[in-house]
Amino acid sequence: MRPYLPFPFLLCLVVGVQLLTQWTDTAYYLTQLTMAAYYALLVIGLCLLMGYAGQISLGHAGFFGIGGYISAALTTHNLAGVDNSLIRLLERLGLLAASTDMFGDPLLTVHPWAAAAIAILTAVLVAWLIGGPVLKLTGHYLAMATLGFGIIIYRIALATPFFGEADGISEVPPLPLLPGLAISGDFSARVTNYYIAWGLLALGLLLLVNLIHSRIGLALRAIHGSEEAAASVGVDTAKAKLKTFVLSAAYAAAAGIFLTHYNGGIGPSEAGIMKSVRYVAIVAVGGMASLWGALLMAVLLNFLSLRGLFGTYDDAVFGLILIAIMLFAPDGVLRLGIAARLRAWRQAHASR
Amino acid sequence: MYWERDKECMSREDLEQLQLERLQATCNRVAVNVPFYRKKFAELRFDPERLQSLDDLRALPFTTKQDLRDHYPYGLFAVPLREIVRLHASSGTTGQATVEGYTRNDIKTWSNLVARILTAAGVRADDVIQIAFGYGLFTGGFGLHYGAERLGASVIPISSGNTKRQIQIMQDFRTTALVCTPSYALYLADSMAEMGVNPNALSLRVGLFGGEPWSEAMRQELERKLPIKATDNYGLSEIMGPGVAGECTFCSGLHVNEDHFLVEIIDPETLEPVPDGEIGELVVTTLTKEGFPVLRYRTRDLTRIIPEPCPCGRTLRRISRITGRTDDMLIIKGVNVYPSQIEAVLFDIEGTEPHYQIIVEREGRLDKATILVEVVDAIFFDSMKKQRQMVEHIKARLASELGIGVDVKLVEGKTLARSEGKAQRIIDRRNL
Amino acid sequence: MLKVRNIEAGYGKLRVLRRVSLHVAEGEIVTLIGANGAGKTTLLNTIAGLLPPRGGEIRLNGADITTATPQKIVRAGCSLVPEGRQVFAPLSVEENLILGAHVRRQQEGKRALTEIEHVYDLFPVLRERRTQLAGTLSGGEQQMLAIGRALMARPRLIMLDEPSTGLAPLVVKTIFGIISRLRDEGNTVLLVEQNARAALHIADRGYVIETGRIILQGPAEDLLANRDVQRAYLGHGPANE
Repeated sequence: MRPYLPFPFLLCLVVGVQLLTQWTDTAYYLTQLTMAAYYALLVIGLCLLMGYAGQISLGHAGFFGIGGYISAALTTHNLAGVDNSLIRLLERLGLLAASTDMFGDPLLTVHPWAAAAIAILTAVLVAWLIGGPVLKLTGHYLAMATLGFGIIIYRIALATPFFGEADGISEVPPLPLLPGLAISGDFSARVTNYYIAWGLLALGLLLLVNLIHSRIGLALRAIHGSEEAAASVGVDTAKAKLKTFVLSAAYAAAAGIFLTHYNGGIGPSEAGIMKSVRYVAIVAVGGMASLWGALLMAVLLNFLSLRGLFGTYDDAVFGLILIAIMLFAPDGVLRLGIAARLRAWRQAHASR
Repeated sequence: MYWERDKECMSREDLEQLQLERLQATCNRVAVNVPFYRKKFAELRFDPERLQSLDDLRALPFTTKQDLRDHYPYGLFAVPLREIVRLHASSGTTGQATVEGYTRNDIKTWSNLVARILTAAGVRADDVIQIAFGYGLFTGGFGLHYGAERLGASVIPISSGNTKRQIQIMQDFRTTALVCTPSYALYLADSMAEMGVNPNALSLRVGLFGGEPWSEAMRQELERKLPIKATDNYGLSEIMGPGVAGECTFCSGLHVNEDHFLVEIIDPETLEPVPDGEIGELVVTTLTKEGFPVLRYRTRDLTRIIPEPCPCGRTLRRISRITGRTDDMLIIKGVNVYPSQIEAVLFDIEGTEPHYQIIVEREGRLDKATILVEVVDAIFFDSMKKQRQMVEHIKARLASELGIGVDVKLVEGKTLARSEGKAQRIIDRRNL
Repeated sequence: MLKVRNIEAGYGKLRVLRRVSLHVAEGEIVTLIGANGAGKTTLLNTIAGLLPPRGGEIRLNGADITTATPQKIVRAGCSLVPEGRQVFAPLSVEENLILGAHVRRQQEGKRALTEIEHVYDLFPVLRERRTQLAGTLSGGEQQMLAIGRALMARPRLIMLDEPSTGLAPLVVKTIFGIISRLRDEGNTVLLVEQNARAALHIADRGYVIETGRIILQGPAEDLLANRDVQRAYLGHGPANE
């Protein structure tokens, strides 16, 4: 029961903040809070990978990019006028959506659900393929390999016309969830979208909290403690690490999909190294092995960043944060001394 | 029933695993500690690492009696002398004798294995066991003694000789188990008859007889004359002494202590192993000896493996009784005698290649050897007295060299048969 | 129970184990002694599936586990207490023990955790410290935790890699007493040790390994009496007699 305690608090906080903005007529904050929530979805996935499975990834923005770009491209690319058996098959399966573009011409695109599914599956597949060999590496080598991966995705996004090159993709349609409910950047649906975002985040969080407290989660923490000892008790460390990697990639891709539909578009910077560094910094600040810490820091820092607090030094700030954390508080700001010292003191007393 | 049931009745699979481990360890050890084997391995380009299964034993070099002689006295020991707590030797002067060394653990193992064969033959801790084997440098006496003591039997270390006393002790001490050569046992039986002692009044129950080849007919005669179960046992000092193999109460073959000795039967000409059941030369590899391990020692004894399982339940395979030798070696009065020893002594005295013949007969129960020597100038004297002295001299030298007394008769030159190639040196008139 | 034949193993170009054969029968303690670098840890890691052998075969109760994964081997009933204990430092004592039952939990669920009481009975000090972080335990306590963790898998064969390392003599005595007790309770133990004397005193049989080769084997008391062993591994010399 204990791990689920914070959820009601979260609920109250989320509702409370929304009401506050309504009351203070600062509803525009909700936009940034919604985006921050989606970024947090990636961060908690990364936190699982880094804090619990003990693997670093400097390329997670790449998965975000895969998710966002594929769903964006598929839902904007006009298939009307293209006539071949594949298109007709897709049409028959109901995977295509017909509408009109801004100029009134017929628009045939992949249905957002199908696009999202393809995007997630692609991210999962890529994670599965590169995860195998890459996770055999450790330390610097793993970091460099993931960095390399991130750069590849970024460059593909930047160079491929299908992905809009430097301009990215815009005019991305909303992602319908339930009848009447969709993820979109429509100002009128700002409050709805706020709750959708936080709802999805809570769901994702619930899943991870469950995982961590399961047998698998314990095994992950064991791997983080000592991989060799974990193997000696019979944990399939390679499979566990791969599965965690794939799961965190899925989270990142989902975040990419949701955010793209919310923003109505995506640009290459979303898949860039700077973003990857930012995510790693946030996980570090929040405390590597603390989902809630990561969540808190993700929302806080992304919100501030999106509000423009850091100005043009945005990326630099996160780089600085990363350095500072590594130097002074490697276990995260929230774990800085107090709680740990209290615990140690209590235990030392218990063992007397 | 069994001295070490878990070892004597272990599955063949477990036994083979144990044998492989011990063979590998022994090879690894001798490759480092015994220069002779190190050199042999290098010559054959053999690496102990090539030993993957017991079949690879074939790749190992043989060890012969001559190899042992060449390294007299301590050349083949695998441990420093200070770790050797016992030394045994065969008879003979330099160039003919071989020495065996035992560490404390070797003695322990030896006693244990002898205890095993004693138990297999039916001896128990409450038996009174009379050891009529010669104590001394020979391994027979001490080997059986330590084994019997280990078993817990009451040991009478009477050694050989003094037949009257032997029988007296047998009566007074109420001996239940007799250990000696089979021919001596028959001799004792005959002496008892002469002395008027009723064998059935004795407490004798079981006998372990070895040291020389003997036949089923002899066994039956022994069991008729004495109220005992007569069992055969086999050993040789180059390998350890008694305790290498012994009959169980079913008396249909001698169980080899295969967890300590690897046995092979080879064709003495081609040196290839023969199929199980066929007669060939017995080759033994020690698996657990520390002081003096030997690899593939050619015993020159002819026997065969009995592959069928024995009703006693032991999984250790049996060999048949020894049916002969592949070389000239004779066993006279329980002592190994090589014609080359006789030749060496005669050569030394005569100064030229001697022409001689060895005639071995059984007089009554005991072996009698007569050496016919062709006369040459060096040993010919006109004076009868001097001639007799020379004969005595030759006799004394031979006795000292062989360890047993032999009769010497001079014969005229060129009367002994010569043939192309090997002369007919040995005439064994005993019907064994 | 365990039959090892002709194992060849190594790291990269380095050949560590050369045609190593040994066996452990049910209910006995077999010890493998040798100098540092002789290959003792390599052999245990090979048996446990952490290092693939380059040749030879390993059988556990007749089943071929030569190329099996560590999970399969734990499931087959062989648990390793690794060198240096390797407890999960950031986890609690209890979580460490629960992890020991990781493989069993997959099949038996909650039932697998009942074993923990038995482990606490064996090591009362662990019960006291059940919520404490494993990294804060003393060396001896960590060793007990590592053994307890291995026991959670209810193994038939327990392999211990140098349990005496870095422990004070008195603690070593306690640990070895526990290992003896394990045998008395019907477990089978393969013990790798540098402290040859302590190991040979509780073992039934032993093997001596030198530069990757077995050079001597036999009953433990014979090895104790063997002068080479005494000189090389027991610290006996002419001066000590």
